[in-house]
Amino acid sequence: MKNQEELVLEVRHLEVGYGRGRKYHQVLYDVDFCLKKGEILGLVGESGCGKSTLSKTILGFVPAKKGQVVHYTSRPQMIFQDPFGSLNPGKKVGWILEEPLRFQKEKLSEGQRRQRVEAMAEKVGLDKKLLGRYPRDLSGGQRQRVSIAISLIQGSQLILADEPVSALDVTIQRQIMELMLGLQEEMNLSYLFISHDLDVIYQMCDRVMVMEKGRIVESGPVEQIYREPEHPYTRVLLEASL
Amino acid sequence: MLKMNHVTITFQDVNPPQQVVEDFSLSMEPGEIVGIVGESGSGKTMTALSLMGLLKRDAHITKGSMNFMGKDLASQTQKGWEAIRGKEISMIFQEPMTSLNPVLTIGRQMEENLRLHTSLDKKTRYQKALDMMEKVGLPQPEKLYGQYPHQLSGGMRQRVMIGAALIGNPKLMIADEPTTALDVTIQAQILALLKEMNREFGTAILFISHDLRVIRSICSRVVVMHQGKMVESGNVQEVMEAPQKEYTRRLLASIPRRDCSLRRHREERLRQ
Amino acid sequence: MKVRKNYNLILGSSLAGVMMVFMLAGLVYTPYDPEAMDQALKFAPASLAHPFGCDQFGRDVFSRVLQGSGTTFFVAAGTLILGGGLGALLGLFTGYFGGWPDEMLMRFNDLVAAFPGILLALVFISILGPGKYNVILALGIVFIPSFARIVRSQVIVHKDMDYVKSARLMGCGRMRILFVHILPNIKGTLFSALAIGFNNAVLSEAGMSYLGIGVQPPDASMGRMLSEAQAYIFTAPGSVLFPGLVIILMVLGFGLLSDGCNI
Repeated sequence: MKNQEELVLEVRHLEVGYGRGRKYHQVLYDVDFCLKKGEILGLVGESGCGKSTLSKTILGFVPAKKGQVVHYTSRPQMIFQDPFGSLNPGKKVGWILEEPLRFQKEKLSEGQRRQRVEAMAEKVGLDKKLLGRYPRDLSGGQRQRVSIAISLIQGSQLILADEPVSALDVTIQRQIMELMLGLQEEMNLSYLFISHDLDVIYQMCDRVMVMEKGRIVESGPVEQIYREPEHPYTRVLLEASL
Repeated sequence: MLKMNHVTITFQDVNPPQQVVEDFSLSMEPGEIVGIVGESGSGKTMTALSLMGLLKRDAHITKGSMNFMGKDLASQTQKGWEAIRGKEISMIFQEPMTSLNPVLTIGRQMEENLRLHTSLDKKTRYQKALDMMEKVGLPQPEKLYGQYPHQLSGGMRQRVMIGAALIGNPKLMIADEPTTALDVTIQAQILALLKEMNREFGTAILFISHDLRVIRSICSRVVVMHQGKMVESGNVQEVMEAPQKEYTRRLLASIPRRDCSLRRHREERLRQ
Repeated sequence: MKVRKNYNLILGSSLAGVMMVFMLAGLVYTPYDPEAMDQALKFAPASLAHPFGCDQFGRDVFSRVLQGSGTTFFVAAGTLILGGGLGALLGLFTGYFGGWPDEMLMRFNDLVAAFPGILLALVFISILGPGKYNVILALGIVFIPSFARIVRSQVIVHKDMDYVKSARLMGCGRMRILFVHILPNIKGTLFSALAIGFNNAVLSEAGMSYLGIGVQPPDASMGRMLSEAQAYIFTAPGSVLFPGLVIILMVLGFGLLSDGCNI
C-alpha cells in the first residue's frame, strides 16, 4: 500500500461513463494510479481516449460510476488548453486573478488581494500593466501565464494541466514549459500533465501513463517507457512521433 | 517551375498600410517538396494564399513577381485563376472538419476537379474517382463514394482532400498545416501518403507548418519565416544542423525533444 | 487597424435618445392641456403656437402627441421590466441548471409562441379589461417566452466554457457564476433584445389602442389618436401625420440601436 503521506492524489479503479440505461456509453475503464507529492505525471493518448473525461472526473465535474478519486490536498486546480476560452472575456485580468482570493477562509482586504495578485503576476512573468487589460488584449502565451497564476494563487498542490502548451507557438511553448518546471521546483507542486505530444511529455514529466480507449495500457518512468516500450500501442505512438 | 521574386504583400485598406509578407523569394523545381516554417503572424499562410489567388480583397501583392510555368500569377484575372486552381495548383487545408463540403458526397467532391477541368464523361470520372480513393488508401471506395464527410474520421477526410486535390494531376500542391489537427498516428500515415503521392505523380509540394519536426520528415528544402520576412532558407539538413540566423536557432531550441536540457536540469536537481 | 464606424449604434442611439427625451418630457409636461377643447381652433393648421396644428375638437395635437408618447413610453417600459426582466431571469436559471424545469419552460415557450402575440394580449385584455396597467400585464406576459429563450440560449453557450469551470474551481458559488461571471457576457444580446422588445411593445400598444382595447381616456395614446383622426385625414392631416411620424421615429431609433448592440 502506498504511503499516503507522500501522495497528493489517488485514483482507484475508476469507471466513468455518460448517459443512462441503454444509452450508457462508457469512457473510462478501471483507471488506477497515484500521484506523489512533487511529482510530474504525464498522461498521453490520442483524441477520444478519455483524457479530458479523466481530468473532469478528478476535479469533480463528472461523477464516477465506480471507483474513487481521493485528494490529499485542498482544491485541485486546472490549467486549460485553450487560452482563449479559459479566461472570462468580459472581465479584466486583475479581477480574474483576485476572484479566487475572495473565497479564501481568511478574509482579505482589497489592498491585500491586490498585493497578492501583483506578487503572483511577477512570479509567472506577467507584466503588471496587463492586470488592467482584458483577456483579448493578451497574447496566447500571456494568457497561459494568467491561467497558471490562477491555479497557483489558491495555494493548491495538485495542478492538472490539460494540453497547456498545445495551442501556443513553439518558442512560447518552450517559455511556458520552463515556467511550469521552475514553479514546480520552487513550490514542490504535483502536476498531472496531459498531452498528445510525446516530445513535450518527455521534456516535462517524471513518469508517464499511456491511455488508449479509456484504459491505461502502460505506465512507468519516462526514460524507461520511451526506451523500452512494452505495450504495442505505446510502440505505435513512439514510432509515429517524428 | 515556380519562381517567386521579392514578393511583398500589403494590407492596403488600413492606415498605415501593413506589410504582412516582405521581400519573399522562393523557387521550386518540379517534384520538389519544400517547406515553409513559421510561427503565427509569420506570413506563411498569406504566402500560400497568394499562390492560389485567394488573398482577401484588401490584401495585394505590391512588389515582386510570381511566375508559374511561364504564367504571371500576380496579374491573373478571376477566369485565369479558375483555370489554374485544381488543374495546375491545388491546395489542402488544416481542418478536415470544415474543408470538405458537408452536403456533397465524397464521390462528388473527388470528381469536382475533373468535372471542372476536363470533358470526361460520367463513367470515366466515376472510375477515376474510385482509383484515386484507392490510391490514397481509403477502404471500400464504392461504399465511400456515396457517403458524406460527417461519416468519416479526420484522417479519412484528409485522405479525401488529398485525393481530390491530386485527381487533376496538378504540378504543385500547397499543403497548409495538413496534419496539425490530426492525432500523431494519423499524422504519420498522412505524411507517408504525401510522400508516396509525390513519388508516384511527381507533384511538387509546398508544405507549410509551424512544426519543424514535421517539415524535417518530409521536406528537402525549407524556408524559415518570421514576422513576414524570410529569415533563412536552404537544405533541411543544413538549416537544422547549422542554423545561421538567431531566430532559426531559437526555433530549433524550442523543439521539445531535440534539446533535452530541460529534462537534464530537472534530473540533476532531483538527484540533489 | 481601421474599424468601420458602427453607424447603427451612433444613429440609433442619437435618434432613440431624442425620442426618449421627447417621451420622458411627455410624462411630465405639455404646453397645453391635451384635453382642452377650443371650437375656434378646430382643424387649425400648423402654426408657431400649435406646431402640429389642432384636431377635430380644437385640441393641440402637439400636446396630445407629447402626452401620448409619455404614455407609450410608460407602457413599453413596464412591459420590458415585466416581460424582459422576468423572461431574462427565467432564461438564466433554466439555461444554467437545466433539468426538468428547463424542459417545462421550453414546452411553455412553444405553447405561447404558437399564438400570435396580439391575439394572446387580446385574450388577457378581455379577461382583465382595458387600461394601461392591464396592457402592461398582458404584453409583459406575452413577451416573457422570447426573452427567456434568447437569454437561455446564450447561457447554454457560456456555461460549458472553460472560464466557467475555472470559476467553479476558484470556489465560486453557482449564483455568483450566473450573475457575476456569465451575465455580463450576455449583456450585448440582452440589450439588443430589449431594444427590439421596446419596439414591439410600442407597436403592440399602438395597435391595441387603435382597436380601442388598449389605453383608455383620459390617457392619450398615439394609436387611439390615429383611430380617432383617421376620418379627418384630409381635413386635419397633422392629427394623423404626427402621431404616425412619432411612432416611426421611435421604432427606427430603437431598431438601429438594437442592430448596433448586436455586433
